Amino acid sequence: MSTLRPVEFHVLLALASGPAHGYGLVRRIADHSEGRLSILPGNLYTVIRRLVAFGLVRETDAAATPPEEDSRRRYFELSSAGRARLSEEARHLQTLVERVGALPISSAEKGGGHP
Amino acid sequence: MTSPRIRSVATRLFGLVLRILPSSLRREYEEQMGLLFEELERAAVSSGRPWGRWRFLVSAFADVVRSAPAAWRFERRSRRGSRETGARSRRFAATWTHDARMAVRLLTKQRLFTLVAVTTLALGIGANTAIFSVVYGVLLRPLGIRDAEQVAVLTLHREAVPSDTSGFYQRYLEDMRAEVSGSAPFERFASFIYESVTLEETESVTEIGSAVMVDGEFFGVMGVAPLLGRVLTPDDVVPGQIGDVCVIGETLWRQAFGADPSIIDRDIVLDGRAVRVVGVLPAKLPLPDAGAELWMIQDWDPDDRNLLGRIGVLLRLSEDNALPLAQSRLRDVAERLGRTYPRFAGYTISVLPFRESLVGSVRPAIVLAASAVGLILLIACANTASLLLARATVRGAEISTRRALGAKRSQLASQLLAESLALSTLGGAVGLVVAFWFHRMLLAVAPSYLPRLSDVRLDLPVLLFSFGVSVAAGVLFGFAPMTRVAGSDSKARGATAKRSLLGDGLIVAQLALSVMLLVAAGLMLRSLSELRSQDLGFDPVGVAGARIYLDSDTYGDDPLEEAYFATLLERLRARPEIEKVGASSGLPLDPFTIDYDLPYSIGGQAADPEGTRQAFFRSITAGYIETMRIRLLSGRTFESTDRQDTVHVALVNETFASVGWPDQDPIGRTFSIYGGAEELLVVGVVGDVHFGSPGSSFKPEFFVPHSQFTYGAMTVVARSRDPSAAALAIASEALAINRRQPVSSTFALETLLARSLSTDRFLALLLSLLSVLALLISSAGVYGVLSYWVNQSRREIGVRMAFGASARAVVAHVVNRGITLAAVGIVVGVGSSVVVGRFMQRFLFGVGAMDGFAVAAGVGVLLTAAIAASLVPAWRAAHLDPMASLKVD
Repeated sequence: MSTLRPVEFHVLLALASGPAHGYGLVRRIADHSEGRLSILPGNLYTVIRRLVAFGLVRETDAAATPPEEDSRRRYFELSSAGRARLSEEARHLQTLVERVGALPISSAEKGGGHP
Repeated sequence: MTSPRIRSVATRLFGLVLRILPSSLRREYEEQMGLLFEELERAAVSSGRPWGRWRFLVSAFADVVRSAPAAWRFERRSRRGSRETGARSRRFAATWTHDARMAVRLLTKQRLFTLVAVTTLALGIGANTAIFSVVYGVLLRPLGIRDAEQVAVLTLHREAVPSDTSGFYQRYLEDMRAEVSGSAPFERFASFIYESVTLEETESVTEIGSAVMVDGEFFGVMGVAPLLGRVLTPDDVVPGQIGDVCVIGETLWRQAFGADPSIIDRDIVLDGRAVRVVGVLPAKLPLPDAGAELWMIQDWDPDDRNLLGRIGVLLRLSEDNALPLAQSRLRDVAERLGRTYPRFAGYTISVLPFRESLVGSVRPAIVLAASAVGLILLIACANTASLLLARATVRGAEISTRRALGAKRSQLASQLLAESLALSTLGGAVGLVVAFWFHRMLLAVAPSYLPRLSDVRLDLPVLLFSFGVSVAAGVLFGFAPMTRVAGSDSKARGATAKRSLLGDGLIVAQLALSVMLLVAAGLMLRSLSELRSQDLGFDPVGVAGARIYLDSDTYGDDPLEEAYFATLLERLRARPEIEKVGASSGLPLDPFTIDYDLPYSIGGQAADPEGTRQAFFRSITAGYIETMRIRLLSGRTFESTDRQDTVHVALVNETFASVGWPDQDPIGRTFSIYGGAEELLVVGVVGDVHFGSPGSSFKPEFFVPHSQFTYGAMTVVARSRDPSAAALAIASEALAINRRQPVSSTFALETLLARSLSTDRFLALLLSLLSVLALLISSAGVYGVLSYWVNQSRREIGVRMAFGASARAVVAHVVNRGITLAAVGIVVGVGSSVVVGRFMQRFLFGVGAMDGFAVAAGVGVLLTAAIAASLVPAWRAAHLDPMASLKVD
């Protein structure tokens, strides 16, 4: 997969802090984007399917699930390829942010969020 | 503020919307998406934002729609892996869509052809769909009983005369059960009797004629689930009597109790006694037939004479396909019991699958109807095939051109198949309309006693059948034009000869099948008219009947029963609208009559140890013979002077007289019943009566006066100018005597006659209708083929006319060909009608399997139709312009 779409980056980023199920991912993504990005079921699983197909995300054994939680929930985590891809993407974004910061129009510091 | 109902509706809707996503994605994550959807919805609701839930719902649904393109793109890309097969299947699909588009375009261009073919097919498929709804509903639909194929009905009958059946006796049943119980393949026995009970409500008393008293095992054997409450169990048994709980049927529950669910554990008054309702069963469960409405448990008292010979027995087998084993074991048991009980010497026990016992009697009629509509479908297929074939001839040039341009034979065949499938599915779709209409007509004219009539519906299995038939038909008639493709590159002349032979063959087949249907209809009509003109031995016109089953608790004693009917008849005689009145324990043509026979021996002769001499027994009042207009051949009928304390007398019918006292006058002779316990003096001989049905044979019968042999279950008959007024009079006089003893039902005797002929009438009507249909279709076929033929031989006709052939000669030339085709069809059809007649034998009365009249009528009608169908193309041929026709090509 050549370019990572913004929403795919967000999912990878959300998984960086540990395995999560669908609802957990939605919450983390909302937190990371300060509530501006809300991802919904149809989109989320279309994305997860792609990421799983490309080997960046894998399903994890739900044995760690706290017993009081819904046993139907399935958990996902980053694969090592996913972790590598995330940090590469983050480096890429870092560079971009630095370049934007070097420009005279610094009022755009929070803007965009996506390349 | 969470309302679970709305949430579940929303979740279900969400599940529906998800279907626009690729199935592989759904297989993997559908559950997760649903789960997440619910969690997010809960969060949206608890966020407290105004319209939070609705905003969420709208955006979540929109999100699925927005994600769909990406999901499908991914789907397509990941499928590239198997590029080879993908390409092939795409090519295949492209060919098919192309073929289908071509087919539709052709069909819309040739409107008349399409109209004729679709109409023909719609009639064929529609009629088959409708009849299949009956076949499925009556013969195939599940019964609602657990493992119904393991349930069997036992019948006790004389080995020599299988139609001579008896119900079980208590002790016989006990012994039989003891002999086999616990051994394979006998799992459990259940037994029951039909009873009539009165249901007393504050305002009214109704008679429930279809109550069933069952033993404790009954519901265990039948394995049904109640609608409400529970079924009856062995714990409900009260030793030696009727239990004090009951289960009611859904129909009764709705009619008498307004479908009130609180009926459970409430007491109702049955036969003057409080009985607790513990359950409601779904409507129309066959326990043991679909008419039953109320079930109670009764412990059979071995000494209760009321039960003798009335008990029905069911059996659950412990394994599948164990019927033959059960049969052979019970046959041995019956033989042993025949030695213990002389009454049942020579009797055997038959084991019949339960479903068979419900519908076995109507299966032949349904199979006949299904075969007849099957023939119609064959005719429709042959007709469409011949139309397609004729058209393929016209399209010969197109096909040759395409072949020359390099079209493969398989490509042409696939296109022709697409055309015939397009035709047949269109025919099937229109056929559904025909089926709907035909189905309603069937339900209107079907014999009302047809078991499981309420299970006859146009539903999914029936529609699937219809679809299957459409496709099968399309493939079937699609083969005809393919022969054209196969032959198109061989020598044209040979192919044409072969083709016309096939075309003629198809026409001959239609005509032959039509002859078969015409002959079948003719046979049935003849048989029906024979039955209608049959002298019944009594006159049902102008007679009303009313069934009265006296409650044995109130009227248990003979004198009370006798007094009741004497009073009732006395009151009725005083009514001006009634001319004559009487009562009998058994009424001819009445399906509710409990008809049984007794062994007898002629006075002065040695007792008949085999018990093979049996005669049917009726207890009648004075006035019955006169009311029914049964002929009195000699002696006298009963009078009020025949009392319990006078000499016991009997009337015998002609058959009894000729068997008992051949060539002698029976008056003044005696015979005895109950093994000599009862000696009867013959005082009169009456004419024979067709008892079971107008077509049934005469059986020996004897009548005894009700005053000497009282009976609690009687049918009162009254002759009147206005039978319905007479029926009302009987009902109201009965209520005037005792308001807790209403009549069970009233009817006009003529309706019994109509009912007993309803199968015959139904088959006659159906076959007539189908044969008219067959005639129309095959005439259209003759017309079509001759028209094409005239069109093809314009040149030849032109030459003939140019050389001076008269118009008449040309007409004769064409009509001759029509007649030739018809003649061959008739020969084949009449030959096959021998089989039809034999197949129909059991439905025919007074008509041979090869009835000259029916065959002649069928042949005549077909020939006329064929000639009529030939005349139009013939006339057109005769008016051809010879010059113009020679210029063709």
